[in-house]
Amino acid sequence: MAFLTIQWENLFDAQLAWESLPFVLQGMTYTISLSFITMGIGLVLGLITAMGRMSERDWLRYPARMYISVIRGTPLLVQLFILYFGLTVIGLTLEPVTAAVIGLSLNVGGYSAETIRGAILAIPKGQWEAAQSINMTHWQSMRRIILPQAVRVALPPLANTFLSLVKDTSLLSVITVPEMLYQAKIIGGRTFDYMTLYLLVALLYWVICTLLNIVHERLEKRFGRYVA
Amino acid sequence: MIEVTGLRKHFGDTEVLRGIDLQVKKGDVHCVIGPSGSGKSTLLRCVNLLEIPTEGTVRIGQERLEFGKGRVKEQAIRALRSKTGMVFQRFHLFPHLTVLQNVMEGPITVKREPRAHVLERAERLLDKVGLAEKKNAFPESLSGGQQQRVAIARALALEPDVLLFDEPTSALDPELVGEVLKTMRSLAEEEQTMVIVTHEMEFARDVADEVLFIDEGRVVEQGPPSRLFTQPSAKRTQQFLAKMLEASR
Ligand SMILES: Nc1ncnc2c1ncn2[C@@H]1O[C@H](COP(=O)(O)OP(=O)(O)OP(=O)(O)O)[C@@H](O)[C@H]1O
Ligand SMILES: [Mg+2]
Repeated sequence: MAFLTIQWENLFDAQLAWESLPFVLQGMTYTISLSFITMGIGLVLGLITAMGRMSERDWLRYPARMYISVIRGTPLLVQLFILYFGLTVIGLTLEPVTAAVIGLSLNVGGYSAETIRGAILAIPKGQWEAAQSINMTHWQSMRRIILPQAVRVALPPLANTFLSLVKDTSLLSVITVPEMLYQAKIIGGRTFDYMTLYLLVALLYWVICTLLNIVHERLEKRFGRYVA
Repeated sequence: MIEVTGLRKHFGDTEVLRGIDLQVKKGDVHCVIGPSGSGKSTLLRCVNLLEIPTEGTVRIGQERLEFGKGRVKEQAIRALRSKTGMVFQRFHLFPHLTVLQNVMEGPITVKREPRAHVLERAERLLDKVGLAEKKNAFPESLSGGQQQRVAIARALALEPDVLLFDEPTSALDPELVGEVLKTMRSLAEEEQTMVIVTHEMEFARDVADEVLFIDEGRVVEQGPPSRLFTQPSAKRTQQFLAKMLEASR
C-alpha cells in the first residue's frame, strides 16, 4: 500500500524539530504574553461594553451595539489587516505588536461583551432586589452581588474565548509579529522542511491548550464551590 | 413609627393600590391579609421603596417622603429605606456568600461599620435565629426554613426600625413553617416593629396587634385580631376568612 512507503522522516524530522525548538519557543513567549495581555484588556473592554449595552442611555447603548456588531461581523484577519496596513493610508503606521494588541483586544472585547451581558442578565431579579433591600446602590449591587455570580456563569464561554484567542494569535504571523507560527515559517523556508515545523507548532499549541483546559477546570470548581 | 397616607400605585393603566393608610406604633405588629393580587406585596414594596409610589406619603421615624409631586432624590429614598428591613417569600439569600457573610454584607458594604463590630452582631443574630453553627455554610446547603431564618438575620443586621415580611412562609414545606414562625414570634416578644403579609391566620391571631384586610388595593377593614377574626363587619372580609378557614381544613 502506498502510504507504507512514505518516508516518515520527510514528514517529521525529529532532529530538525529539536534544533528549531529554542527558536520556536522564542515565538511562544509572544504567543503567550500577547494572549494574556489582550485577554486582560479585552475583558475590561467587554465589561465596559456590556454595561453600555445594558444602559438605558441611547448614547451608551448604540455605540456599544455597533462595536459588538462590527467585531463579530467581520473576520479577525481583516481587522488585523486594516489596523496594520490600512491605517497607513491615513498616515498611521503601527508597529506589528501594537497593531496586534489593539486588534486582538478589540476582538476579545466584542465577543466577551455579549458573554458578560448574558451572564449578568442570567442572575435572577431577586438578587438585585435583595441587594437593594439592604440599601446597596446600583454599583454596590453590581460589584458585590451580581458580578461575582455572573463570573461563574460566564466562565465556560470566556474560557472558550481565551482558547480561540490563543490559537488566533497564529494569524499575527501575517502582520510579521514573531510569534510561534512566524518563527516556524522562517525556519521552514530556510530548511525547505515546512511540514516538520508546522507539526511542531501544532503540537505546541495543543500542549498549551490542554494545560489551559486544566486551569479552567480548576477555576470552575473554585467559583462553583457554593453550589450544592 | 410608620405612617403611610393616601398611598397609590399605578402600573401603567392599572391602579394596584388605591389610597392606603397605615399607622404602626413602635413595637407593634401588623398583619396584612387579603386575596391574591390584592396588592399586599406592592404595599410592602412601596414602604421600603423597591417600588416608587405614584402618590401619597410614607414616613418612618423622622424620615418622611411625599410622592407624586416631582422627582424624589435617590438619597432620600435610601435614607427612608435604611429604616426598613425586608424578608422575601423566596429568601433571596446571596448564594456566593456564606451565611455569616450574608448577614455581614449590609453593615459592612453599605454602612461601612467596622468588621469586628459587625462580626460580633452577626454571630449574635445567627445565634438568635438558631443557626450559629451554620455560619460558614453556603445558603444552598440549607433547608428553606433555615434560609429564611438567615434572611431574617440579614435584615436585622442593619438594625431597621421596622421589619417587613412578604409571605415569609409561603414558599416553605409545611414542616418547616413552624421554625420560621417561632423566630418571628420571639421578635414580636422583643417588641420589634413588624408589618407581615401572611396567610398564617393562627399566627396573625396570636401575634398581631392589628390585622388589615386588603382587597383590590384598598384596606377593606382593620382591627385587633380578636375582633376582626371573630366579628368581621365587611362582607368581603367574612367571605375571605371563610375561604381561608376552609382551605386550612
Ligand atoms: N411590576 C409590575 N408591573 C405590572 N403589574 C404588577 C407589577 N407588580 C404587581 N403587579 C400587579 O399588581 C397586582 C397586585 O400585585 P401584588 O403582588 O401586590 O399582589 P399580592 O396581594 O401580593 O398577591 P399574592 O398574594 O399573589 O402575592 C397584581 O394584579 C399584579 O399583577
Ligand atoms: Mg404577594
